Amino acid sequence: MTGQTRDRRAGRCRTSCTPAPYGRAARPASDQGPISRSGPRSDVAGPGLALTGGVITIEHISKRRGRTTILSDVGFGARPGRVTGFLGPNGAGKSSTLRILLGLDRAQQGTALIAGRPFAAWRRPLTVVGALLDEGGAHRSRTGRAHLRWVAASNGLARSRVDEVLDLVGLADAAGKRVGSYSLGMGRRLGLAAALLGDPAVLVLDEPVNGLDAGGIRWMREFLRRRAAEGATVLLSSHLMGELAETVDDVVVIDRGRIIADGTLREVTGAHPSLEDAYFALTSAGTRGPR
Amino acid sequence: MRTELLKLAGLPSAWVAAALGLLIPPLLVTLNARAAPAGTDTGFLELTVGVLGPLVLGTIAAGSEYRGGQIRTSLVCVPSRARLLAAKTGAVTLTVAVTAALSAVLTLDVAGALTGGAGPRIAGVVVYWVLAALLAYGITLLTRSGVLPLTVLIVNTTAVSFSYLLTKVTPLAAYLPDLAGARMYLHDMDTPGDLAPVTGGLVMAAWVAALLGVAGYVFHRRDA
Amino acid sequence: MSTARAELLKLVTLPALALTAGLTWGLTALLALVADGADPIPYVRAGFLVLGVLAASSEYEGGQLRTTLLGTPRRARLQLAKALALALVTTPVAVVTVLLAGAGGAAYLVLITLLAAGVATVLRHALAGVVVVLGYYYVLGPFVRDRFDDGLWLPAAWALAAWCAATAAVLRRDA
Repeated sequence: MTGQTRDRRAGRCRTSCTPAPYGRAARPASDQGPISRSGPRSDVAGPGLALTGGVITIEHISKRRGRTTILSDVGFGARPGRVTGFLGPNGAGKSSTLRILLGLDRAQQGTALIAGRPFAAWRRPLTVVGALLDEGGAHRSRTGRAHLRWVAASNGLARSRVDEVLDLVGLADAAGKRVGSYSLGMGRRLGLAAALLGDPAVLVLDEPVNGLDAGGIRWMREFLRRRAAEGATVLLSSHLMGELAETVDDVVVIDRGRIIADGTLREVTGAHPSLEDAYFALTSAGTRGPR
Repeated sequence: MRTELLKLAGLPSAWVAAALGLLIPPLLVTLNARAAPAGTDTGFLELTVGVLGPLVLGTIAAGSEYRGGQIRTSLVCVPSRARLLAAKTGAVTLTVAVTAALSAVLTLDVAGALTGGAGPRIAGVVVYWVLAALLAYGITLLTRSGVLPLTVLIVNTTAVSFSYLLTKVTPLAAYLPDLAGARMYLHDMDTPGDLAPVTGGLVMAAWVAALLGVAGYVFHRRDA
Repeated sequence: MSTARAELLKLVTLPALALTAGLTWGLTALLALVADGADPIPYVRAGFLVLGVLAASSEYEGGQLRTTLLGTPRRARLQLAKALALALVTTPVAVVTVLLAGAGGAAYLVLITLLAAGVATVLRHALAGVVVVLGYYYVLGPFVRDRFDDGLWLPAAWALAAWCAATAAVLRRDA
């Protein structure tokens, strides 16, 4: 009961919160069995992560804003070691779902758990989940380095991590310049750097290749596949089919607030010649004009 | 110029600014009625403070272009920056003039000072408000952030006025735009020198013209 | 608390805040020199109000609030850390100002900074915050203030109320 109260205060879900006693995770419906990840990450984030791996579980999420239903009984999962693509037309509810997962928005119903706990229940979330969302997330008059420094400080991360992630994303030269002077691609890379500060086992990315050039897109794809191969859970949303088909292992398709497909890339593509064809067949995107 | 008016009308903050200008002076008059006795400047003093509304409007009109890259859209529609500025200036002028006239009439009515001879003084208020709004507009164009100019202008307009303080230091301060401009309708001013209403108006207009000139030039040369 | 450290870093690395503090000091010194007898504090008060507004509204530019919440999802704790950090940063600025002015109280200046920040958090916008806060203090203020004495408890109460309203807003709203 205590666990539930704590989750309720700290977390963002209202009903049917599955309390996660310390050290053990609740059994999510789509769990294939505990998948453990060995390595230094487990002692940074706590034993719960080691037992379940960074499994993302989303169940029965519903969200209304005023009289519009944005999400309706949305549920799916993402597993470690795989890249899961979250696909849908604009306005389908991809961003809303991810924001609920990350504790930024509230759902009226349902649970969204990362490694068995709601996002807000993690003491140092950046060591568990790294997120890259659409807007850069940095104030334009700070330098890139100053931005990363405060993000690192907020979770008690070492200052050396700042330089490490800057090197990782290739922004070491530009770190001393104001964020306002960054190009679109640089801004996204800064966001990615911030997401990687805590070396998280889970990565959640909303339209990560938006605004990147061809080189950037390829770099991102290879980077994400490498992370997944190392055992991370990667969940990314996109509306660019061609690129997604190159990157993902599993696909979840959402349209108008409902999940309409969930499976491996092969399963979802099915008999269609490509993911793009499957997507248009499944969603109404083909029958509407551009939104 | 119609597009600029429409743009302004689309900004909810612009309506708030107009409301401020319209409502603050009458409100202040009612509040003041208890404290101060009636004098030659009743109602008009409160209208001076009400210039807050036009100041905000001017700041918003200038700042809104910089937000969200709207400036690039505007420039595509009207490639000549000079014409864009002129249209914006016109839109601000018209909006503020209307608000000023309405507010002046309302305030003076509440203050019981709506007499026949008030006509020229009301005109003075209208010109003052328009010029003040353009002043805020020009400064915001230059500094690109509305916060600094708005802060300085708001503080200056109220009881805690820098300009007034400066007049204690040098009589030249009476030629600052706000003090000179107020001569257009205030008769009982505590500042050195004795500017006729029209002269005061011209001095303020000169300041504004110079400022808009500089702002326009910088705007023209600056990258979007 | 690591959240407070992060908030401190944020405040210290925001150039606009340093600029505001510098301008405030400069203005105080100037007024103290030039206008003998006149108390600079009513003029310079604006600087602190703007400081509070800028500090709070900077969180809402560029989507920074989301980044903050991703690191610190517990919003009440975040608000507390923000208040502490702001008070900590404002105090030296206030102390220097009071020294330069030769009058006034630093605690008062810190309290109004917190108040302004609370208002700006509710409004989420720098310009709106400036208009509301300065509009109150300079336009409406003289009427209201005449009815109350000069103690510190009133600004403290207002600052607390503003901060509670801000916290409630932050807890309730979508990011």
